[in-house]
Amino acid sequence: MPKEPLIAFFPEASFGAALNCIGIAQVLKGLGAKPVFICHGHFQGIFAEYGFAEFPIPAQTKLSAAEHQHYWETFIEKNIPYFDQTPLEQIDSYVAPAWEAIIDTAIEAEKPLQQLLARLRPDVIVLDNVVTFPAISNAGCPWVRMVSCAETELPDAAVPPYLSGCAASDAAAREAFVSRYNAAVAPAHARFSRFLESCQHPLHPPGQFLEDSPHLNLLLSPTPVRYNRKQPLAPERYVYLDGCVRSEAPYVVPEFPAHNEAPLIYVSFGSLGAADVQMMKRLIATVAGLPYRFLINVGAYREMYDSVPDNVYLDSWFPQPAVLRECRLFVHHGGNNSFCEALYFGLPSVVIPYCWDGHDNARRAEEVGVGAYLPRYAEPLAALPEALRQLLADEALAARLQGISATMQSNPGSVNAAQAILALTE
Amino acid sequence: MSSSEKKPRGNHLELARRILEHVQESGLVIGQALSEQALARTFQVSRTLVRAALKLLQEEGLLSHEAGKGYSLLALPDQALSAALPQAEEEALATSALRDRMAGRLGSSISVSELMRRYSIGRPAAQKVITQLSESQVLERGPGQSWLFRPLLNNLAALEDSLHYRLLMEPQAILCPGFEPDLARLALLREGMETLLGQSIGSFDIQQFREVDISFHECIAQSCGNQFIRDALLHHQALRRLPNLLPMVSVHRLQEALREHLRIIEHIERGQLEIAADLLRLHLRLSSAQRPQTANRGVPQVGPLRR
Repeated sequence: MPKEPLIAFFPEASFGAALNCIGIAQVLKGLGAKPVFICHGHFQGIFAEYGFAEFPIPAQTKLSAAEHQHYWETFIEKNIPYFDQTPLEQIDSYVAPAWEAIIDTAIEAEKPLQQLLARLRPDVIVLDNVVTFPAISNAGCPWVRMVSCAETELPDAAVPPYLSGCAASDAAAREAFVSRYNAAVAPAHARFSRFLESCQHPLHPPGQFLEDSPHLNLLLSPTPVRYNRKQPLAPERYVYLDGCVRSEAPYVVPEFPAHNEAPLIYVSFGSLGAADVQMMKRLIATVAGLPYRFLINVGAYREMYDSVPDNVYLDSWFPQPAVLRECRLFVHHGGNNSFCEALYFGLPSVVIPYCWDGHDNARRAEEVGVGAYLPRYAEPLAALPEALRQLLADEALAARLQGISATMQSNPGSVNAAQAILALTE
Repeated sequence: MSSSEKKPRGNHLELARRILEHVQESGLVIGQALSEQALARTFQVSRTLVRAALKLLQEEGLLSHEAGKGYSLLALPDQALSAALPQAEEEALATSALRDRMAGRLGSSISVSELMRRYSIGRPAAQKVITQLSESQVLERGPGQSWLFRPLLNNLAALEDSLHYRLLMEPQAILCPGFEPDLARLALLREGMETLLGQSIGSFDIQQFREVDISFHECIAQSCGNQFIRDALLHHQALRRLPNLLPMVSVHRLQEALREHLRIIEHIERGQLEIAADLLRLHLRLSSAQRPQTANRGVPQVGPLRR
């Protein structure tokens, strides 16, 4: 009996990438492959919980529990004010420092990753990250670039710049963003270039931190939101995916004290968004009087809420795909996984982004007419009730979203991704 | 809730439910008699109370009664029938109050007048709710007219503390002298677990899992030879039965938990109690939440956050 192909996933330390890869890994397992997960030392547990072997890369800088807590509190305190800035303003305050931190993780991971890959000897590596790890292209097996962020991550003259939140047609905004972005990330880019050189790895163009794979690139970008690229991507190396949704058990909707028939709306801004407790409290106060029921993801901060309104239910974790199946609308931060899952289940989105590609997806949701973009720098909560009312009342949109959902569910991205990955082992 | 409909008393209803569960677990067939005396012994309650509960089941069409012969099984109970039993008014209100406390809609203390206002009920009904919640050890007297909620499993830190407590106590429940497992009940639980394991992820019944899981751990507690450990663990499992508490992990982990239960049952049946206790310890360790709670790109090496 031939050995089952070993597929090593290496997602970045974020739930979006992790859960997207879990969706693909579940299919690969069904097809007879052996998916395993390489993860950052501080981001383990989630893959094992879904039944996959985990191989953490040990952190070189060990922090005590108190230092962890202090670090995280400082991080939140420092960065939350930046979430209310425009994408252009965030370049200096949030994006450039984030790149510095991302580069630190790549440099720190290189040696242990080399050792781990030599031990694992995978047949294929799937990298779901935004930065190069030279150990991967040197591992002696095909590797896959999984783009689980917005499609804007792969630049093109007809696609808005990554993280800009620009409209595809706005040339002036595009130019302003690119020049400021490239200048702001130049020090991080130069530092990363020195690291790549030390690994004899080819350098990246300005503003870029990861190359495309010569073997296979997967883009989590459903048909209705794809861009018409000036230079179309070669289909033999680039596969678009219509959502990689993992399997979850049916969600049991909790009983509300009243209005149990009212439309159900799911609100989640991801684990980092949940850390902005003051914003979440204002949101809860805003929706308290609305004629809908709300399931709201408050992450690790559940006990910081009291006086929860009767039409609101809070929890620290929701099995998102199973929850969305029960909902009529999704309010989210524009994380690509959330945006794709809204489409997969035929739900309109209200996108209130706070950073990164959330801006790009918010703009795209509005451009292609599948949701509303409520920027945080423009009083999103004041506009929220009317946005909900309009989207829930739009029957034409509901019909169109049902069509999108049917198409996506009949052509699941996780299956297409798994088949394309397995083809590399033949 | 309609107040014109006469509600059965909460303790009768509770006993009726337990009798139904007992009928299911003992594999009674239609026509078989139910002995008042045996039931009174099993549940350690008076025969008067048993008679009241049996009468309730008769009214629901589950039992027949013949003078001089007593009660016998008329229909096999299933979950739907059990759920169809009328809820006592005070029980329904107590459930609502607990649901609202678990959901953060009620603060850490309540008073009779607050209950009257919130649920639009009279003083006697509100007082009964307070009595019921304090009898279930969910409430305790606070200053003045207030009542305080005792710790519930309604936040991550409480869930973590609960697992730690069970890790200390549950294996000991097996190891204490006098552990007497209810093998018939364990066999029924095994059937329930195997049925659940036959379900695909997409159709996995989370609520059924919750029922089987809590029943299994209750069964361990009930079999304990030390009356104080037994009592403490049963009280803790009752907390796990409160509304709105569903497992927050993936189905894969729940399936693994069921397999772990099956192995524990296997070793209890073989009388290998030390191995069963070790497996139970391992099971509880694996059941504690392992996943990171907060993460994002650009946030470097920070471990799981405990709040």
